[in-house]
Amino acid sequence: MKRKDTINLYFFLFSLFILALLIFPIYSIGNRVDPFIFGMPFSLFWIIVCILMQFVGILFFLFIDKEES
Amino acid sequence: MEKWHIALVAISIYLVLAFLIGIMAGKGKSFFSLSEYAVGDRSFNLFVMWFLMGGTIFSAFAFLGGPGWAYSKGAASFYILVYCTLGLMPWYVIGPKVAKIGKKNNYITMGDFLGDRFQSKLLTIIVGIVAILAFIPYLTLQIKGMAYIFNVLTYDNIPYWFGAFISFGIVVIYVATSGVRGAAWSDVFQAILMLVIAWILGMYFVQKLHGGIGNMFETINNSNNDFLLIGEEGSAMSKARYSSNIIISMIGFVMWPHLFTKSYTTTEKRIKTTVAVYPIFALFLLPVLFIGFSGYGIVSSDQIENSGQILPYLITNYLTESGLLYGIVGAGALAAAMSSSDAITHGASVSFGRDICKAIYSKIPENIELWIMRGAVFGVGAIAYLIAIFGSEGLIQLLLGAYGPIAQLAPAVYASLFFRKVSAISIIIGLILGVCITIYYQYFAESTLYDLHAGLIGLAFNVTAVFIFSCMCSQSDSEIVKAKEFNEI
Repeated sequence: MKRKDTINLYFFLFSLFILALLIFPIYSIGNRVDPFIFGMPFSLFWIIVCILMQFVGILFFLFIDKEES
Repeated sequence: MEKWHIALVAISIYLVLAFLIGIMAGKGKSFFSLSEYAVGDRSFNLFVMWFLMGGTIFSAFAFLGGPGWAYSKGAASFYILVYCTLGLMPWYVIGPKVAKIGKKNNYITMGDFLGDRFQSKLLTIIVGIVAILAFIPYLTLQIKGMAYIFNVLTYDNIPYWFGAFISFGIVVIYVATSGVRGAAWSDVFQAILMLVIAWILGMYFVQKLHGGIGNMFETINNSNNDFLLIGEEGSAMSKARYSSNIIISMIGFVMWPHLFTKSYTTTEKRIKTTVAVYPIFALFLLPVLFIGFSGYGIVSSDQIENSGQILPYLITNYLTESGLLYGIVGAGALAAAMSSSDAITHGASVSFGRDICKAIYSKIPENIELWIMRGAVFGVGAIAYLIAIFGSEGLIQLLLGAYGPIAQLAPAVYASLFFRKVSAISIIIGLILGVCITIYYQYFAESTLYDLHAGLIGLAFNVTAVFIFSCMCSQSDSEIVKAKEFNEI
């Protein structure tokens, strides 16, 4: 497998990971009101953390891709 | 001067600015180049791409429907945040491939791309038809949004049909003259405007009605324990439906033919960077949901006709101090509706010209094709306008309705890039089967299996059909060559 394809495969797995965090059954962990964080219910805070994780994750992939070229 | 006069002046200034930016964007570029009209000569930078992608998604659906969902369905509205974030992720992998092969073979639409891979004109035409059928309800939704805003903010002084006519008319004109560049640059302006306004409004209503975010959510939680959760007794949406909605959005998002065409407006590298910075756009959506939550417990449900009116209702009843602020809000909401409709109108015109007209009669010269596209801007625009003014249905149902069939294009796109053995006939059968099953579960069946999203059930049949028929039917010689080319890009 070419290196580029390997990176794409890892990216695919990373996408699945983030997806899994945001849907059931795993989202059951985040799906509760308490504790309130920054005034927001935990169910919403969980989603925001996932979005930030995704952002950082993609930056990481972008960095690897740059190394590549 | 009455308050709505000031509001009208503010909205008019916004409309004039949007119009000028849209028209100016095409200045100095060739008016007679098809590539310029359709894909901006493949030259867009990151800044423009981000706003173009973001503005397109951040539609009237987000601006009016988002608060409506938060107000009426609570936690189910988080779905909007999630789909905006996840939706673009697959583009990181397929976008660069699509752009690369598109540049090599000169594609401008999804129909071009799939038709060439599977060596089938029929497939190109089907993709064109599916695209336009999905574009029209989406566009209708935006036009309805524009009409609402004008009507509510001017206290019924501007009739429903006229507000939509003016604002959508402006979109049609700058898309027809400046093509994708007009849509892109006006999106930059519109997106900045609506983001700023969304934050101001969100913070204002939360503060004024509840005295802070924490207070607001606690009050809501005290009155209904399950409102901020998914799949509980008092929640608006089941777990299966919530999860399958997200999955189908993630699959379907980049299958929107106008977003697909946007892959051709830029380079491979910029596509990846756009995906990277995109989640930030989703975070900007947060205050939009806060607006809806702030109305919970304050506005009783019999005060508004449907939940999509919660934002206009809050504005007319609780934002009464300043006519100017009031007008600026109207401009922001209009910007949200217009920035989506320009990209879609453009996409529909390109699909019609290339995937339908050119595929049926391939001898059309390029300059005529370009004029067909420009004409289609008016044609598609007129149809959507008439449906919006004379038709009726709930705001969001329309959009979600269009989502199911679009996701059925996914097996074709993924197969074209990753699975060499898949043949044209299997894709066509899968696509038709998937669309039919989706439509059946969406409009005719009493309920779906396990409360799953109709599109997901269609997709299961679609993929199965593609698999079975690919094993049974062999590919033509020219298809084998193309399959190899696409697979190795």
